Amino acid sequence: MSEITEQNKGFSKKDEVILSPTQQTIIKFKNNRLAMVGLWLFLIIVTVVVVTHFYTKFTGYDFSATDTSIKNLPPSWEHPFGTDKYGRNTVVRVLEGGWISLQVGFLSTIMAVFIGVTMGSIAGYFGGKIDSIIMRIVEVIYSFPFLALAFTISAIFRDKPAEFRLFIIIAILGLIRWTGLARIVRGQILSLKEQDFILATKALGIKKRNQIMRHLIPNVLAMVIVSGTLTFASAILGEAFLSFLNLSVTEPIPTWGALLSKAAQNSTSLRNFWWVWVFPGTMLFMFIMSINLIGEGLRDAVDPKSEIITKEQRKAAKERRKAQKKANREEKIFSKRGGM
Amino acid sequence: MPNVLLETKGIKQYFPTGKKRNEKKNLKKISLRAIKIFNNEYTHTNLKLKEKELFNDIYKQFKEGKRFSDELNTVLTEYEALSNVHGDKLYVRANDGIDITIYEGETVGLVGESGCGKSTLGRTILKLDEPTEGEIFFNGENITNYSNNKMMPLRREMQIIFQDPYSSLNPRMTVGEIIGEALLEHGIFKNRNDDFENYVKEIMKTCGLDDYMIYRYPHEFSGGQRQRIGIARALALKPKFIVCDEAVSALDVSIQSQIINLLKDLQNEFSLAYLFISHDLSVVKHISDRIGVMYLGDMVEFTDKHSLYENPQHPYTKALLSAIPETDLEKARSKKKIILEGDIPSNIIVPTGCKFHTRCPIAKDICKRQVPQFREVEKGHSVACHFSGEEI
Ligand SMILES: Nc1ncnc2c1ncn2[C@@H]1O[C@H](COP(=O)(O)OP(=O)(O)OP(=O)(O)O)[C@@H](O)[C@H]1O
Ligand code: SF4
Ligand SMILES: [Mg+2]
Repeated sequence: MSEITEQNKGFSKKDEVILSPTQQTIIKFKNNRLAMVGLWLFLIIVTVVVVTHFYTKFTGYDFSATDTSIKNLPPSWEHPFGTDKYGRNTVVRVLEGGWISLQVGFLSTIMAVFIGVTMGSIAGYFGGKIDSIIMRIVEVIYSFPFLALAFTISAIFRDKPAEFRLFIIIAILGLIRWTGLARIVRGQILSLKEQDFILATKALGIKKRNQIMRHLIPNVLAMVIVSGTLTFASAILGEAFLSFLNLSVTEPIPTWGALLSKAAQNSTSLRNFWWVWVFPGTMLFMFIMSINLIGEGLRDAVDPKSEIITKEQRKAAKERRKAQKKANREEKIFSKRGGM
Repeated sequence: MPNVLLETKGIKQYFPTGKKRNEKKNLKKISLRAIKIFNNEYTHTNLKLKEKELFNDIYKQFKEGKRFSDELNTVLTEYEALSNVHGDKLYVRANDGIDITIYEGETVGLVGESGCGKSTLGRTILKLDEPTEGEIFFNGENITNYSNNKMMPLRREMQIIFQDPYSSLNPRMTVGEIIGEALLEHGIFKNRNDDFENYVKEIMKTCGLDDYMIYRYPHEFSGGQRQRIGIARALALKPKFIVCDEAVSALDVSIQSQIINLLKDLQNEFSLAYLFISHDLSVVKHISDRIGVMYLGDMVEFTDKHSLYENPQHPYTKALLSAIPETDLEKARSKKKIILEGDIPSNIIVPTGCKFHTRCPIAKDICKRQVPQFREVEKGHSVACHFSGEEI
């Protein structure tokens, strides 16, 4: 490249790189190493779980089939995650266990986000009496003892089929977890309403619907996505927790929480047959961690004040550190020699 | 004489504070003072009476028409006045009855201390806030009670440039979208075709923005450029009237003059009318044809530029003008500085009579009691003062 074009680079119309706030967010996210690890982990786990689910479904895998001759086997090539005390293959059970978690996570998060965003925006947008009514409801739900509620409701529906109980769990989680989101959205809308550009829409004669769709929602969306991921993680944990207490879906359908609780039921299996709890525990841990990493990455990415650190910059910084170290070492050697 | 474009009659804008006036402490103080005077001047008939009962007794007699000594009478009158307003609902009186007339193609300046209600007036006459009282006429139509839908076509004719260039642009829209949004909304252009884009680019050029910036986002611009975007947005609709709410206060001096010249050029081109709000008297002097001076929600003086600067009538205007730094040394020496005592009073519990009496250097007794009329002292020169034009 000649010197002149090098100088003019970035100053002419063609060289202009225009980044929308959304594009910037994506770039920032992509350059966040931890967040990308989280994203890949998440995608891999989801893919494996989904594939396993449909594989077992189409091949008609029987989760209740027991074989006492191979019970409590440690991990081997034939049974990579070992077998449980009924002689069932743990690997299929662990991977299938994620299916319930995913369902619970996605559906209850969608529900919580939907209710939370609607309620929060209504409260923030209209203010006044509507606002105080909604916020009182939020406070009441927020202070609800989640466990007591779950206990009661599961007890009531104990005899119902597993699918039905699953939807009850989803509904409980969705109906309880929307409060935090509602608060965030309300706060955002309240602060947006004070901004002059919302007043400007009125002065320009923009219709109410467009004001909401074009000016309010895009400005709260980023925060909603961030806290949505965190809701997702906490919903999955919540389901695992309920399964652990035998309040979720029951045998023979496996879930991560239920697998853990089976292992924890007696201390012998906990001590001797470690593979029974290590694998579902690890899966759960990795899945939750990946979601939290994504959430943290998104939070950084939507923050306009955080800088973009690209791969090249990171590499350059590493090179610089290396060079510095080398220089230091050489200097040391040199001074040692000089001292002699 | 050009046509009247916008006229307001007694615009009041009160913001409820949700509180009630509580004067218990002051009433108690006054009653104690009254008892003291009473004890000095009259002998007790019943020594056992408690202070409160004694005062109630005196006050009752006073209300029934009995007159005491002069001193005691004044104190009791004060008590009566205060007890009448005790318990009233409290409002922020941002605008307290303002009459203003703006002709086509002229610039009306509006000056006054921070918090005197300039922005509120600007917003109220555009009906961004509903006025508490009063009437607004635009092009001869009474638009006071127009609904949002009915205002829609009028929005094309009246625009506002906001004080703060940072919060007045949506961070998630490109400059083109910001400027063009209202054009599509009002159906001036049916969709985003080439004509539309060319029109937006043309407006941007008029406002001193390069047309390749059309796809940029507000965060990539400086304060001055953002202000231009705000101006371009207001101008795109080709309005007849623009409220410039401190449109240049946030900018540094060189950009200020650029923008002011731009506004003047546009005025010549499209025969725009401006309401130019600012607390900078020299800027207002430069751009305005007529100027209004506001104090604590009231218009205190309104006249054309020359008579305001050469022949100010209201003591507050005089004080404001004396605060302009003089560049000419000769003049600076001879110039008398009027320094106002005290702070600007609360605009919730406003001073009685003339609101300026707490700080006015020539205030007399009548100023405390009687509200001065906003009246025309000369042709086209209105002042609200009992002693307008008097030497300070
Ligand atoms: N929505 C509102 N609710 C309550 N009080 C308000 C509201 N808007 C304005 N006020 C009050 O009205 C008064 C006038 O405000 P306004 O913004 O009109 O002042 P201003 O003259 O524009 O001041 P500045 O020069 O600082 O911009 C202020 O005391 C303010 O506190
Ligand atoms: S009416 Fe009285 S207090 Fe008010 S400005 Fe005039 S002289 Fe001053
Ligand atoms: Mg203002």
